[in-house]
Amino acid sequence: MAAVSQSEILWIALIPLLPLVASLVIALINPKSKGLGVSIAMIAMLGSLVLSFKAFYMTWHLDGALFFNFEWLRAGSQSVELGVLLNSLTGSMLAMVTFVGLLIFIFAGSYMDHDERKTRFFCYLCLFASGMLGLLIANSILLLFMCWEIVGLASYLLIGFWFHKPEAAKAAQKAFIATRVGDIGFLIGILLVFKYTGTFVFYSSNGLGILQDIGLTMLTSHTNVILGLNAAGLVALLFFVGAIGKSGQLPLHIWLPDAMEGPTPVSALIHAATMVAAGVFLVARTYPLFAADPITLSVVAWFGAATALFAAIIALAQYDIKRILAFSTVSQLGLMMVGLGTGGVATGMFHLLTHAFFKALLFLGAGSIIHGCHDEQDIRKMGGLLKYMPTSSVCYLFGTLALCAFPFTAGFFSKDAILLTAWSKSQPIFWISASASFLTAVYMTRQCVYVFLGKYRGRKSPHESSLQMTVPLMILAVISLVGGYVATSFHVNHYLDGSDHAEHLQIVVIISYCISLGGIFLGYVFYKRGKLGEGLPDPLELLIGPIYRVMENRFYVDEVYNGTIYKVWDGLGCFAQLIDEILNLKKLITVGIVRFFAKFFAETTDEKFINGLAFDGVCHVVQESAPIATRMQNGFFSGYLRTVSIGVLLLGIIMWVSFGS
Amino acid sequence: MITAITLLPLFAAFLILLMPARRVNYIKTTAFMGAIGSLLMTSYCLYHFDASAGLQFEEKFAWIPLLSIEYHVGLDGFNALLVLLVSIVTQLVLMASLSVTKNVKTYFIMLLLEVTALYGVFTSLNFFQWFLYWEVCLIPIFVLIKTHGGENRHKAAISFVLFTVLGSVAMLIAFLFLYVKTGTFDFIELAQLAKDGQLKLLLGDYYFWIFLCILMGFWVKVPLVPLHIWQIPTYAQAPIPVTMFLTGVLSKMGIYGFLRIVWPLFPEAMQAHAEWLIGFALATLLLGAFAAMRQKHLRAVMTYSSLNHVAYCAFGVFAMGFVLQDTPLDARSLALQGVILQMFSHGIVAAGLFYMIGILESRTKTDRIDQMSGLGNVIPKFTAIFGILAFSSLGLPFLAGFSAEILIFSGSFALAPTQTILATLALLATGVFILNAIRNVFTGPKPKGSDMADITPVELSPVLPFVFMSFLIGILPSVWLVYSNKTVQELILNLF
Repeated sequence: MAAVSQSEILWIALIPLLPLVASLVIALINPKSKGLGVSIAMIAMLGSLVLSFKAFYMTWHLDGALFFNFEWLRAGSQSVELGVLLNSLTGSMLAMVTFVGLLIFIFAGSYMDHDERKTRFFCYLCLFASGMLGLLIANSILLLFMCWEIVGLASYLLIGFWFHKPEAAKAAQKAFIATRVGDIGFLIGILLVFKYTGTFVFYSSNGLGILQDIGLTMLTSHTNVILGLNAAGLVALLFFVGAIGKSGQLPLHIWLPDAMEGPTPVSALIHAATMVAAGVFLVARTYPLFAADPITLSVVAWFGAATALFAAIIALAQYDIKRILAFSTVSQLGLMMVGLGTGGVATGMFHLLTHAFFKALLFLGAGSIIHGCHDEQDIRKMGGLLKYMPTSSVCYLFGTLALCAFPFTAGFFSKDAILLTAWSKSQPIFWISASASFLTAVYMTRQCVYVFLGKYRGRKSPHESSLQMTVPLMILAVISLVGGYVATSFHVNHYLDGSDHAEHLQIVVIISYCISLGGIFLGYVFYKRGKLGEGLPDPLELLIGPIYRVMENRFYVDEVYNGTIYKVWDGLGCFAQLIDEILNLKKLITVGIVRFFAKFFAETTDEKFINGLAFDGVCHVVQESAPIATRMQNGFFSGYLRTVSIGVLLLGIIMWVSFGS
Repeated sequence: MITAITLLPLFAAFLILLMPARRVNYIKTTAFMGAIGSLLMTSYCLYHFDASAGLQFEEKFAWIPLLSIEYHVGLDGFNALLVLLVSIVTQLVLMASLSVTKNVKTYFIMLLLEVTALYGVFTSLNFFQWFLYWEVCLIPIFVLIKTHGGENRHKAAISFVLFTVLGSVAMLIAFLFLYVKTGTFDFIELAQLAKDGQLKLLLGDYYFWIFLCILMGFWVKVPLVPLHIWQIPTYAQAPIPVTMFLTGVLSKMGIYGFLRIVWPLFPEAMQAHAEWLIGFALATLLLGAFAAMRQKHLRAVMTYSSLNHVAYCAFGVFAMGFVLQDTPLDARSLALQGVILQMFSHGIVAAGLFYMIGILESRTKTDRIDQMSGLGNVIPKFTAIFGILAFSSLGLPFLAGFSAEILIFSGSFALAPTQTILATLALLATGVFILNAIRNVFTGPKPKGSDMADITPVELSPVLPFVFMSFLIGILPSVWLVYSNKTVQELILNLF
């Protein structure tokens, strides 16, 4: 795969710039002109979509990568370059993000109609799209990181969009901070790679880019940097820390479910198509670094597998329709990581692409359902919606099938590929992933039984959503059904990383059929029989009792963090404060002493001695003595005589005393 | 030209002195004329600044021949941006001062005197004259805190002066000693002596102590632990415009001193003691970031934040003293360029933030975080501007803080990796305290019966250039870095 520098490629920079400009314009127009704001956003997104498909089309005939770098800044003799990059990874992601993104924009146009800050919402959406698209075309780990942070900011703003709700504000902050924890690792990785190679770019015309052979050799030549890892492996692991934060993997998954506080289109945008996919994309993009040290890939696979199972178990015991989908996303992202760790770029990315469509469908469908049920999110208060909102329900069911990897839906092809590679690499990882997939089928069926079957358990009767909301659902539903088949027949593996599709193993195919069909069947039978409703225990709860509570409370991870890490962190704050207080006390004492002396000199010596005794004193005596003197000179002769006689007497005594001794 | 830039505000102050105190509008107009005049001349200088040349716009003539003291000013990479910073921040400070009603005449005279002193500090190249300005800087601040400060202004003013004078005295002694030994006060000549190895010989055993004394003067000004303790009461009690000067410009005097004086004069000492020096910088930036998380007052949060951000500069400065290990990077240039950019960008952002806090205080009459809530619903425009500046301070890419900090870190990581990794903890803490403040103040349900006015166009217009600058620094750092590139390269070439 050759990497060619070409300045004509610079036009793809327009793809993120269009939404960025739109975002700026929307920020500056009158917030009341909703229609104008929405149309600007749509036009920009449509422009990006057209350009993205052009780029996507180009990559079909492209072997390798096209890139163009430019100098961002120069410090001394050190030049720091940024650049844009187009290869199949970029092309496919661009097409997916802009396509799904536009559908979400259309959906949001109707969904957010009642919100008076709708223009502001679209401003943030555009900012988000811009950051995400910038991340995809970056040919520099630094530029990727910068856009990555913009995505983080936009998600912060979007999750906290209804910031008058304290929970939303908290969730937004939690998302930002949790991902920032990962970002610190990512940043250190970037600094490390820069230190060893002297560049941030992936591909460079002098061949020194970090993903090119010479750059990689520069990294791998530093063996045993830490824990037996070579520099490339260490950098890869640090990047993976960033990916863990962004993609909600264990142990930084805590922000993802809370992020449901945002409006539904946001959940779709963040959880399905884009933001969480950024972590997976990062691993895929820097895959050569991961491949340079074999340990790193198995770390990725193990983290992925553990997350997949963990999140799937939790999803089994949730009642909030969006929260179930959130945990499902976490779980699926784990599977993508498994795919990357065991199979390679194509395996992980293929699932990322298919998942984006059906998860966006599910989130938007959930949004439509929530809208129809008058902002109700609890599945216990739904039920029988198939009758009330047929279009949304059918689309949602198609999405569910795809997520459960029902044979020949989109999810089936991509998940099958992951299980296949996992089987050949590591049996334990395969079985963990397989159980996660099985549970996926179970909890999705559970949700559907709760929501669509039985009787409606809510208060106000539900209604179907407007066409502007259901049309995006239908489009996504079609892709969720046939997308996988189409992609496979176009040799998606070869397109994504030049590899050929792995040979099918009979046993794996059978297991995958069993998983999805068995899971759906079991879920249907199990939950259809049980009594569902608010206040009633979940059928599973009757079966496993207290374990269900643990699952419902997400294994108390948040509580554990509150008790440990947050405490330590707070403790550090207190410690800093304490040091400051001690220093402050010292300062107060010092200043106190100085002030005391100053006061002493000012008051005691100056005031009391010089002023008080010497000057004021004399004046005072003179002043005080005045009345006495006045009284003495009263004009009566007897008085004067008395004074004279006293004086003579005193004189006599003094003389007698002085001479006598 | 530089002399004119420096003295124009003083001239304006003199004119104000002649005016009757009740002519408030004349006084304000005159103050603005002086400040804008200096800004225009500064812009002219920077426009004609030759990035490939070293010292320029130099003015040098004998002043006190008896002591061979010369008047020597000039612009180079180290001070070009700082002079611009003074010019820009002055405008915002004056705008923030429009609401002053008490002692207007004294107030503006003092403010303009401060501006002159700041220009002087950053452009002087001779110790004698530089020290004069350095000390004069204190007086207006002291007076303004005393006359226009908050409740505990007297204590704050005293501790401010005590600490800074402590540093100044140490430095004065050191320079007198240097003068006795070398016979010159000129920075450039002293640097030349240091480069030839003469300085160390001349000082002999006193080398370290002289180094320490000079270090001390800047240490207080930056400030670094444990001498930072004057900062909290001072920033809290000073009137907002003065705090803007303190955080925006005065905190950079110390860093500037490290670059202009300490590194050129004492390169060996800076390298020999790099370990503990960077330890102090690290302690400061961590302390600032972590203590900021626990503050209840918006001003205190931003003060600790300022402590933290300026300590990044010191961190970069001290990291230069480390030995490079297996890296193809020009790490010292990166760190040093980062330091210079960070000084500029922090000056812009911090002054802007305190300006915004001033506006907020004028509405709420408090800066207690827990007494405010849901203001984002009431004053959305204010929230947006404050948000941009706060995220800039948080180090969000494409805004001012990031480009400077990434430069410092990418340089320091190749020099002092362990310390840099520890320093990144502060980035996390910065995120926490800034978001906490935003959450407490701006989010939550709309407060009942609140009729607070949003930021008015008059209040908004002076801060918009700061927001714009913040973007400009973040997106196109090269525009600013070209000014210092040559000087930075020269310094590093001379030292290593």
